[in-house]
Amino acid sequence: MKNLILFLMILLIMSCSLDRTNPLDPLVSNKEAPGRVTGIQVMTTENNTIFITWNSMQAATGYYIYRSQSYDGFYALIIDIEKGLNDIHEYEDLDVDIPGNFYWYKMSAYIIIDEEQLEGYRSEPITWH
Amino acid sequence: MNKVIIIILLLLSTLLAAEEFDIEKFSNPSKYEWHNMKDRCEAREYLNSKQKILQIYELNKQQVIGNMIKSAFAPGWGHYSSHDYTKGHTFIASEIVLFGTSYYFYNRAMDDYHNYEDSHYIGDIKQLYLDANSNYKYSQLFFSLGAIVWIYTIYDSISATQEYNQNLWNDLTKELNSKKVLITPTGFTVRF
Repeated sequence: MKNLILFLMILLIMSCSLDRTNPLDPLVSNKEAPGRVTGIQVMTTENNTIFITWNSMQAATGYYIYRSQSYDGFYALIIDIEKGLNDIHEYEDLDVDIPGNFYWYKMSAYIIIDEEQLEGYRSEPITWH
Repeated sequence: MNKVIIIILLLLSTLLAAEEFDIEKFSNPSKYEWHNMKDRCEAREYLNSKQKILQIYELNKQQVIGNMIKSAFAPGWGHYSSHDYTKGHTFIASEIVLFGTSYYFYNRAMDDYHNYEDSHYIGDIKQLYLDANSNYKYSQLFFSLGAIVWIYTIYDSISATQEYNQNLWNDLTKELNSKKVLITPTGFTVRF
């Protein structure tokens, strides 16, 4: 009897779950988030700016680029690039102070669901060699 | 006519069957082992003392229903009323810990859940939902345990009250028997 009560209690608790209400949740929208951005390359230019290129993603609507001055520091969003009809897949970061400073970048792709952006997984930090 | 005869016969038969009330037998004091006036007085004293104990007991005893309601209102209150302080402390502390923990996990679950609802990043959406759900289940678990302890507290207040009443009765009878001098309206008794 005790075991039955315990079993019913566990069953009751396990069956109680919170509702998935975020419209961007893939289990709600039935739309997968974009994968990781691949082929990211970071290089410095003669004008002391940083130039970033990556492989274009068919499913993405746009890209986010984050920057930090340390590998495991806080990565701030520096730009939201809409892919557009021109299929943009490069960016030149002018707001940098090189040589003398070091910058790390992370990237992600996003899609639009009901006028909201669903951001895919962010890439590993990358910098120039 | 036949009916009247039958009724008369029935009445006569009941009179024949009735046993004559024996007043001598009923009022025979030796039946109660009262052999003299002293025995009668002692028996009366004994009855008076029992009646007095009963009155004190009725005034001081705890009501089972009352203590159950107290325990339902605040776990442990029924036990405090029954002077079972150890159990009272244990139950109230258990309830505070269990419901407090449940509330703590519920708050964490709701924080994570609101962040999940506002999140746009797939990593956060997945992780925050898992965290919120896991904290919510912990909250439910501790709440269920708290409810079980609460119900048990109400149930246990019955036995605690009965035990209190039994001890009260035992103490009162012991106290009465230990008194060396008893003063009653009919006189006084001295025990050596």
